[in-house]
Amino acid sequence: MKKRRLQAALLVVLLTSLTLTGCWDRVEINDLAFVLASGFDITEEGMFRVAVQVPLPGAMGGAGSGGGGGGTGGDKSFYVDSGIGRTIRAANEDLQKRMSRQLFFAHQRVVIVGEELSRKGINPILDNITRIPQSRLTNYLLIAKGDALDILNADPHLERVPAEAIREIAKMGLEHDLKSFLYEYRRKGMDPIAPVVEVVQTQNKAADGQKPEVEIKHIGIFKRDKLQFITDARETNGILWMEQRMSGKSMTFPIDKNQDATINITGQSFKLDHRVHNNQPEFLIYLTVKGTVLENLSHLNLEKPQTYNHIENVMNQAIESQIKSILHKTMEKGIDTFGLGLHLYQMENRLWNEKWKHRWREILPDLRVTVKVDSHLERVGNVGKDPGEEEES
Amino acid sequence: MKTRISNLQLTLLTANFITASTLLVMPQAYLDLSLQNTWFVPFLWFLLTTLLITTAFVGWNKIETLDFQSDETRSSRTGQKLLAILMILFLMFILIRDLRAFTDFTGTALLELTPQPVIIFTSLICLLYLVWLGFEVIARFNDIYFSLLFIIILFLPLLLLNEIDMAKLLPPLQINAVPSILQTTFVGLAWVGELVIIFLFVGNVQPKSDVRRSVIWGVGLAVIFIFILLGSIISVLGSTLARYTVYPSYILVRQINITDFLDRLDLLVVSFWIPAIFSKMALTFYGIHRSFNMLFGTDTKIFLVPLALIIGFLSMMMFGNNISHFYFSIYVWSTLGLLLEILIVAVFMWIVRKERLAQSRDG
Repeated sequence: MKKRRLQAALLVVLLTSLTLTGCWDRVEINDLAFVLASGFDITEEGMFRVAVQVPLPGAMGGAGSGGGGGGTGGDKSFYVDSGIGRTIRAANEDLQKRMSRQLFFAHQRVVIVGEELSRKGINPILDNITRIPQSRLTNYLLIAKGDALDILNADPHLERVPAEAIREIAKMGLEHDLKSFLYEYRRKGMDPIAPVVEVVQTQNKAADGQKPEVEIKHIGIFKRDKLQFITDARETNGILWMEQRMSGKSMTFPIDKNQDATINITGQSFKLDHRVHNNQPEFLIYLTVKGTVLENLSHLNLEKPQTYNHIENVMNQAIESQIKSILHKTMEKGIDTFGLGLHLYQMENRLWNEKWKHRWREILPDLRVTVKVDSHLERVGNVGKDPGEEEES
Repeated sequence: MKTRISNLQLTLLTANFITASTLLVMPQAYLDLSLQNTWFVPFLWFLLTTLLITTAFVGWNKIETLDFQSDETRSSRTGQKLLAILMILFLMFILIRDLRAFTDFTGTALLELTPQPVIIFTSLICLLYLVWLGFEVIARFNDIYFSLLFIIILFLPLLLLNEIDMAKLLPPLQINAVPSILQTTFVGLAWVGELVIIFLFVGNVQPKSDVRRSVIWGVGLAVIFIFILLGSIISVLGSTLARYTVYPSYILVRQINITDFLDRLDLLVVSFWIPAIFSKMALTFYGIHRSFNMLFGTDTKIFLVPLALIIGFLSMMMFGNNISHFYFSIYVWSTLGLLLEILIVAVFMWIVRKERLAQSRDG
């Protein structure tokens, strides 16, 4: 009996040990290089350059900490290196050959594509980053003005690792992740967009206070997977209005003899409508905007209802012109950035399939789009009149 | 001692059997066919399987007992042996296919370097252990894990609220979408119809009279489960993106992003999903074991270990790569599975009829 029990216990131990197959894929945590951001560029020879930004665990501690088992790189808390290859994976393998730790992409949050490569087409990058199981569709996809490698080398003040700064700025702006880009790219009747990130110097007169910061101010407009152009400030605002990303942001525009006011946008709603006239679709964009006055540099008296109406009218015109600027520019080039085709696919499915789907880019420039904005100012802040206005005696 | 399970356990076993591996491999195929209208298809499956169950259980309440494990059911020995042969064929295909699906998913998403035979055989050891313990243990194991998984799936739309875009469900149910919806219904019917395994276990359910209703409840739960998952996939990922991914369900749970802090809950969901898949595979394995006992008139576990080895080897050899496995799951199984299910239902109805006649003669 005792012998049988011993045999049974031995069998259980043996069988249990076979379940430790997770050890086959086991990698010690200090043998992993956690990639937080990747950058993709194209070299002059037409090869891919893949850059990675990896935090240095030993340098990530608090004040006074340094060294330790995680590796250090002087006073920087991260390290950037790149590899070159005929394909993205070949470039990664090239890079891996001089890294003592295995590249691990599961914590990657940001993917940056260089401007030149974006203009040639980013499909190879999309194939790579979606195919590997470690990647997530919640990564932010951005376009670099210039080379992606320069962006990864920037060293913003507020975050220890630039990838985190880029991610936070991207989140405050367009908040366009890989999933959104892929959806727009794969969808017929829509073209994708991506925020553009660039390196700028800190605007600080002190000679030793200049540091390369990252800035996301513009948006890249794509036709399929090729970058066509980068928006200017007005066009960028137009896109933010259409994407309903202006809530929480402010808008400055002249309200009286080139004297400006700034309105804080507290809410917006967007509606795209259409009608079919002579077998051609016509679109109507309705935008309702709510805001509060943040700043008034004019001498207009905000305690008067007429002033409110005037500011609202001027604001309507300003928003309309921002939206129209980007709408016309994209439509002229046969780019459907705002999903007008997608709207027709959803609302006029039969007509879309029969009449418009196959020649959509040809008819886009001739389509009529009307924009109507209805703004409403809710509050003026703590003061009504201009503080410099003289009292009437 | 005769094994007994309750009607609730039967409901949960049925629901898990339909959903567990279906949602691992099939959403991509369904979405590829009917795009944004795929969410509607589960309701058609419900109607058709309810019809199947209602037809199969005609005359069921008129018989006293139908226990394939005991000698009380004597009059339909030929029918029982025929049912056993069909079940062995049917369940072997299911287990081999599901084991390979699980292995491929594990190899893709979790253990990339672990050799396939190691994953297969360690899974089989785990299944062997579950099956050795018996039917009641499998039912209780399923109770826990399927219930938890169902609760998680019920909360899934809430967790994904910030990612849901209802416009991705448009245009809804156009007339030109009818052929694609019917195609998807056909492709998925064999998968949903796998619930016919419960015919092996109906004799173990107490009370017997509620069996049909319990099975229909199980199908209902499964339909809700599949509807929520497919609806979430379409409204979060969009059908054009989901049809391009191999495991859209897995990609979906990776989109859970409540705040920067709570954004990697996919491990939690998968931690309940994998045991649910194991529960289905264990039930399938147990069904094969019981069918062998029915065929040879024995009550032994001697078949289990060689069966496990055979299933393991077939799982590796039948499919050269995951694409041939997908091909089998979508194109071959939709017809072969349906054919086997119809035969099983027909044989079961024959057995019930013969038993009813014999019992009314004896009575």
